Amino acid sequence: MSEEISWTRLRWIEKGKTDNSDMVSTHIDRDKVWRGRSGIFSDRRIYPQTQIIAFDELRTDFKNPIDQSNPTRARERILNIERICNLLRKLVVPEYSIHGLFCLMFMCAGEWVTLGLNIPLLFYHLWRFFHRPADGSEVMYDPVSVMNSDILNYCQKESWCKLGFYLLSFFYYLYSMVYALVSF
Amino acid sequence: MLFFSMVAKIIAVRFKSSTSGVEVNQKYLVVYFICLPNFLCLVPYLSSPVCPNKNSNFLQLYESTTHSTFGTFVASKRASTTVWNCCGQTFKELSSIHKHVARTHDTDIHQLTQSTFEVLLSQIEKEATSQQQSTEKEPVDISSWIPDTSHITGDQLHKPAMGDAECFCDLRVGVYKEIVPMGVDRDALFYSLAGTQLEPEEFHKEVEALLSKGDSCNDTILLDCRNFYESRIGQFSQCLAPNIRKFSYFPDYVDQNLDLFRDKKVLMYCTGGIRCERGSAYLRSKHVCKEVYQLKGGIHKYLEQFPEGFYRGKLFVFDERFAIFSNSDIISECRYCNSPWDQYQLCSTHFCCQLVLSCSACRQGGHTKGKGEEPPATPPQREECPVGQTYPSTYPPGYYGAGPQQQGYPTISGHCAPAPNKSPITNNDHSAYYHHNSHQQPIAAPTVAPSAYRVTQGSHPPSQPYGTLPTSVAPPNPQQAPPFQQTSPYAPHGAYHGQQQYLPSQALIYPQQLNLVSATPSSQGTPMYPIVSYPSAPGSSQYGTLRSSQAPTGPGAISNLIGAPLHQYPPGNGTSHPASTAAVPSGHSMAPPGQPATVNGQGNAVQAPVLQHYDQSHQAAMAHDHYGVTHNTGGADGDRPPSGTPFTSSPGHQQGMHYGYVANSGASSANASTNAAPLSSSSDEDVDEEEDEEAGGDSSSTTTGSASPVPNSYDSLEGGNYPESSIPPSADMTKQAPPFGYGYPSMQPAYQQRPSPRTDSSPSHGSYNQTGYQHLSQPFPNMSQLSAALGGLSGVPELEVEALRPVNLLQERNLLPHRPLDAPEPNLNADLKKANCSPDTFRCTLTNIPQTQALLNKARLPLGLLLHPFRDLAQLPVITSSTIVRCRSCRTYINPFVSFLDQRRWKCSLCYRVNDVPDEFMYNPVTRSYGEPHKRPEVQNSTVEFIASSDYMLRPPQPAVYLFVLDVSHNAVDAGYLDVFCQTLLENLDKMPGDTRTRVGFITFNSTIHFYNLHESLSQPQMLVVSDIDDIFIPTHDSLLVNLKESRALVRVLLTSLPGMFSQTRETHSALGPALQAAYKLMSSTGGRVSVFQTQLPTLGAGLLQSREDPNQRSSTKGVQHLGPATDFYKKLALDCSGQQIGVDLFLLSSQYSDLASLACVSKYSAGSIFYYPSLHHVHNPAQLDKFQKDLERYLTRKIGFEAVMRIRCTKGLSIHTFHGNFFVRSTDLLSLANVNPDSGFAVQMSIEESMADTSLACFQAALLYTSSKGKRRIRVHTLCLPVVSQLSDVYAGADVQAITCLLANMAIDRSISSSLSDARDALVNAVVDSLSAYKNTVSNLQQSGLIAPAALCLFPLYVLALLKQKALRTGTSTKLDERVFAMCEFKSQPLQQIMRTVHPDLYRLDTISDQGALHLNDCIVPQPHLLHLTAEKLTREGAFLMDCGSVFYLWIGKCCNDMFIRDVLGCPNHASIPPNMTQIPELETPLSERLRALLAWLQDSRTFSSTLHVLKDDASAKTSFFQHLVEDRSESAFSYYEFLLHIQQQMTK
Repeated sequence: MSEEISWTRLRWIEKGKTDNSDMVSTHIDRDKVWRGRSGIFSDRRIYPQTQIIAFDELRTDFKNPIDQSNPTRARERILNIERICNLLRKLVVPEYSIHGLFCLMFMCAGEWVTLGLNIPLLFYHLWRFFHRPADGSEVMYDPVSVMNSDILNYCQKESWCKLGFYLLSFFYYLYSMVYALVSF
Repeated sequence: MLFFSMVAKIIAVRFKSSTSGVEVNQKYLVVYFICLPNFLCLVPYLSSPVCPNKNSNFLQLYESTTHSTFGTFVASKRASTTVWNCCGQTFKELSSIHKHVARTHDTDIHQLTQSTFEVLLSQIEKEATSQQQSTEKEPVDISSWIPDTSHITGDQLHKPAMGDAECFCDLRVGVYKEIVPMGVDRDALFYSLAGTQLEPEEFHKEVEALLSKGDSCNDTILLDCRNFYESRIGQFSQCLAPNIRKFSYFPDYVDQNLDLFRDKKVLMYCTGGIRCERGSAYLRSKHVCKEVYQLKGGIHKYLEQFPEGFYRGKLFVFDERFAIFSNSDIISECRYCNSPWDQYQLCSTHFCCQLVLSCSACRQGGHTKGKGEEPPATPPQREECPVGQTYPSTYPPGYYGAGPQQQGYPTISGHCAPAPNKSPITNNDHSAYYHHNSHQQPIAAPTVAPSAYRVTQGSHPPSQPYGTLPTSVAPPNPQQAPPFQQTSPYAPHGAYHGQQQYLPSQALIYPQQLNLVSATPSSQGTPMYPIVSYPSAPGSSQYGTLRSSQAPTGPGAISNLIGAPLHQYPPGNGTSHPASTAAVPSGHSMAPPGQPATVNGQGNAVQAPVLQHYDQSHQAAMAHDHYGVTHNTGGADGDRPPSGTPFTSSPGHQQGMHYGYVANSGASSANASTNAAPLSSSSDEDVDEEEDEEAGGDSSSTTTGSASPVPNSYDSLEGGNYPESSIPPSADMTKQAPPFGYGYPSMQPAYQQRPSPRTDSSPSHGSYNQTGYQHLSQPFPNMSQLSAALGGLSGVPELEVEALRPVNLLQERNLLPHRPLDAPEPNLNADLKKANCSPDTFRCTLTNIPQTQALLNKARLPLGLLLHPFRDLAQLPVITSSTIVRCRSCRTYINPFVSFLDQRRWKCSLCYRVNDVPDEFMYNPVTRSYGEPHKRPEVQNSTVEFIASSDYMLRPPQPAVYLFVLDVSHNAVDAGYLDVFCQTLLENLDKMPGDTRTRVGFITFNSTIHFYNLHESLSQPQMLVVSDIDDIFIPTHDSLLVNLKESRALVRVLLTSLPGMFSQTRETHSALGPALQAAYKLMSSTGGRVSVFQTQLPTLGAGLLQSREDPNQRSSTKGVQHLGPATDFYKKLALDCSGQQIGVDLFLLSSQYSDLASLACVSKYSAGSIFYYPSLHHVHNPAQLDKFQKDLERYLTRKIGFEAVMRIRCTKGLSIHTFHGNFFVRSTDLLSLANVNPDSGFAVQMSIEESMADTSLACFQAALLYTSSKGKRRIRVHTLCLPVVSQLSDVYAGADVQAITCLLANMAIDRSISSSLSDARDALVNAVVDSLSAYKNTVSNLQQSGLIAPAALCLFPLYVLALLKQKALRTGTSTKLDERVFAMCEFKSQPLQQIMRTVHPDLYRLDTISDQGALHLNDCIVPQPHLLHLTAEKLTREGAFLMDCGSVFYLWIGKCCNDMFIRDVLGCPNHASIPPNMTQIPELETPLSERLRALLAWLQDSRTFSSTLHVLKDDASAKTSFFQHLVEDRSESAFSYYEFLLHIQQQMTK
């Protein structure tokens, strides 16, 4: 049973891009008028959201220990881990670059306060990106070490924090845009 | 345009197969242009230059135009992907819209076609003119590019086919050298030589003639050129269909079966006539056939003319249609139910991508299901993929569910069944398998596959027993089973299954018991092993207590036994069968009349019933009913005493609950079996093998009489003659010399060591050994005592005070103890202490666990565990029980530290849940009484092994499979390792752990990969070379991995000839990556162990590496680069391997840089081991070669566990967060170990998540579930219990400095790879600084100056300094990158003792050794010299010193060393005459020499890999290697110990 659930969930994650973008695009349609520049922003919310689900997925193994000990599950499980890690890795660069782009745009627009809010995250991203494991093709989320619970915990916490940050900034942008429109 | 048209001739249209997953190897010239009208313009040019026949050309053009118009018309009506709208109607199915269009829009289509055709025609004319122009413009001659196709008529070049856009959804255009690659060069084989083409009509007549002659026709062969899966669903009647998977195997097929075609008329056919073209040309080139004909246009054309002709079934095509049909015959069968079925389905096995015939009913029944679907309720059979194992194939989900009811082992069924191989042989077996219609093959099979294969295929009727054993097949009827069977190769499996299925009895194999029993009779000389079973029936159950132990012969033994203090066996039982007990040689069990023989759980339930078990009808539900029978027959087969005790019992007699208590002592019963009476060799063998396993590999049973297939491999390692290690320790502990029979070399120092004064204070080893005895001799504390024990600690002993004594490190010079340091004793109640796990197996860095994370943080010491879970144990209680008692919530195994609340309930020591005691557990087989669950062996021992029940395996356990991947490039041959390897393997071939299912294989590689076909029927090994390293494939699945037993002769031949085969090689390249891929593919269906021998940097194919080392940076004090892998190829491969339960062990024998950092990944993540022999050379470095040979010997013969997982649980509040070692972390608390070996250690780091204030004890349990080499699923459980403390001082008092050092070393290595080496070094220094300053600030009240450390930690700075000077972590000293990386790998995967010896070697002075405090073992005296500090100060010119560095001993002879010593020990007259490269101490008869050799042997004994000895003269140049181990001295780039202390002090004051 749990297997099935995890499969469906995984499918969802795999399809995450399409599903989410559908969802997001309707958001944009509705809110575009309102939000203007922050419209795209909801795009970025999906990254930490997906990540959280993915980490949760990683953590949730088959609960039945006999199942878990079964050697034949090993392959499935390893594939799962590898796939999730691949997925996460694919999302790293887009997320970071979109965030970077935003910072750049804020800078161009002279939104120094907003930029200031984003700078720490930007630096964090830069740090994270350049301190990844030396292994050539791996960006981050190495399947062989991600299951160490300290790393997993760290990643999960990171995703929650980012989700919170993106949410807050979304409302902040919304507020400032409405404010700008009203005062306009 | 001409150019285009020319190219188009060799266009291959290839349909994308990603959706279907079918591997499309054939590219057809049948041009399916219909789907894309844009390409229509090409059609005329395809044929026009070669075919002057305009009319037929136009006809075809028109036809295809019609099709395309139809297709586009339909496409234009499409609303969405699955919906079409036309004429106001909505169509959901493609066929319905087709029908609709065909009916209603016929005229539209016609008109459209007309117009399109006209346009096309005009285009053609235009192009024709422009073509002429263009040819003038471009005088490039490209005609040489294309083959001569003049013999091919136009209508052969493109063939229309019915179909639509849905079938041909994807078009690819590419230039291919050959459309249908046959693997034979075009130039070598002309098309024009092809066989005579027969028109379909002629062909029809020929076939008719052939058929009319019937069986008598011997001169004509109807040959199907297609692949086997094509011919399976449709073929001409009475055709010969070769069993080839792709067309490129066809030439091989022809080559191998030339005799078949000799002087025959061969009629060939294929789908479209192309393969015939090539195939017939090849066949003709062999000049053996009388005539070769081919069907023009293939079946395609034939079917157009004779839809009801001789071609029956469907025509397989390589597109979405899968098959087209002209007649309604179904000639193939469903794979599972054998009902007619010919629709292929993709195998649901992940990545299998092969086609399976499974009917819809069977699909619903769970066969060939997709992922994610619910596994079937009924156990399905193994899904068989028709095409062998090209792809890494896992088992389909349904298969997992099948469990033990599975018929046949995976090794012989399914994927492993003889797959179509590169050298396909059309034998009846194969075709019966692949072609279910089983045609009578017109020819006899040249080679017949072993029938075992055929019969074990899962597709056969379920009633078939697993009865294809090559030798004696035991009849299912137990009464008829020959009691003493000759060695049946499959007996051990049988035993295995017999055990899991037929042993509901709780047979406890409990070797420790032996001590007890042998205590009484130990003075007796000849060991005899009476086996008594004590039937008694408390309640409704019957219990048989079995005992096989060391005891005097005859009835006296029994009385002795009965007189043993703890076992009040009813004398009546014992004495009533004195004769039989004495005579029962092997059986562990003797059953009185009327009682079912209690099978001892091991070897005896071997034959008949077990085999019957494979009968598929034998469902688990029925198992209980069978138990009685099983027991009887088990007894009848193996256990029936020669005295002929009547042996009858009724199944109904059984209650399903049997308790068999067996006290097994490793070799003893095996010896007994050989000594006492000649019994069946099979049971001997079983016993023998079992012992081997049970005793944790220590049993050195030297079965003299019986032909044991697996001679004990541990003699040299454990040394233990079992009788010795089973000497009652209780008696020995107080005596200097054991009472009898000590063979000195076999001593287990850890166990038998006479405690020196120092160890007396902390007799941890001793206590471990005593557990067995004392637990049984003293009744375990009753409930109240137990809870009292759990409630608290027994005061603060002096030990603790001593451990806290402040030591001023700057003043105290002699910190080292006289003898090697022991693990600190946890401060526990004496009973718990006794029950605790051996520190060699399980060690915690803090023996007093701090209550909270805050406290831990204050102490600044790392918290973690060091494990050596699979080490060779001298004594290991093995428990067979139908229910393994575990906590219901956390799944902890019951252990000595649980508390029994009352008789029926126990409280888990990890999660504190209260669980019920199962009924079976209530019975204690030791005392044979009810209501004493706490006396069960599980509760008495912290290290136990369970034989897992069938719940723990959802597929039959894998056999032992060993694959050797050998580098045979010039470099490798030059180094000369191949001779040593082959020699060593030859010698140890029979000692490799395994059973009759053991399989071996060999792959060698240089720039190509060589496989070896070792099929037993061959006269000599067949070498198959695969040179396509970019896309590696397995040439044949048949016999690359062979059963060692069956093909032993061939393996020997190969090993003998292998070194010579490559002696002249000039090939310098090394394609390691492809070789590993090949190994992976070869092994993926079975799992197992891959041993890779590599001598250089991989230079070819996937995973090739570049040299990254800059020799100038070797001694740089800055960071060291390239400690991480350069590519993730090896890591990915390792993960794949881990998924398929393949462990990869790497032997790197390179003298140059080989990028171990990258290569090691393949072993690291697949739980392998890494060996590195720098500069191994048979001439230049014989010492290294010698070491390699010894290590290899150990490697080959050591125990091995397959498909293992290890889970470490700890008390609630603690959590494990990081793991160190070689494995893959599959889940946050689960380690996946493809292989587990007894020499690898693990480390984990823990944190305290919740306060543990409400508990006083913390427990840790490591459970290792593995498949033994005998194919048994076993669980080894270690439990450690430690007190929880709330005081910081207690935390310090309990610090285990060795464990801390090892854990820190592991952490430092992680840090140096993820961050940098200097970071890691800083972190190490900081660890010392932090802990010492924390101690100073919080605990120590003394305000004295200097560097204060608690006595428990006084060696901490020394060890850390030693760590910093290790190869792995040192800077400033020239260290080769590979050696550094190897040292890192060692740290990560070695057990604690080994690491500590490497980090801080033991130094002894030898010339002054005395017998004071020496150990007296047997007749040897082992001197115990004192440890010396590792500093040159301690060396004197007069002395001789021995340094024990773990893997190497250095004997350093001072310049002015006493001549007498040199003469007595080394056999040289004086210092000057000592030869420079001495690696052995001569065996001299002098007392000094004897002592010294005894000491060396004793030291050697405690480690598994043999160490080499180097005799170094004071003036030898080699002494740098010696002096680098003197870690307390200053080196050119590192602190001396005193400087280091000052540095720390300075840091602390900062």
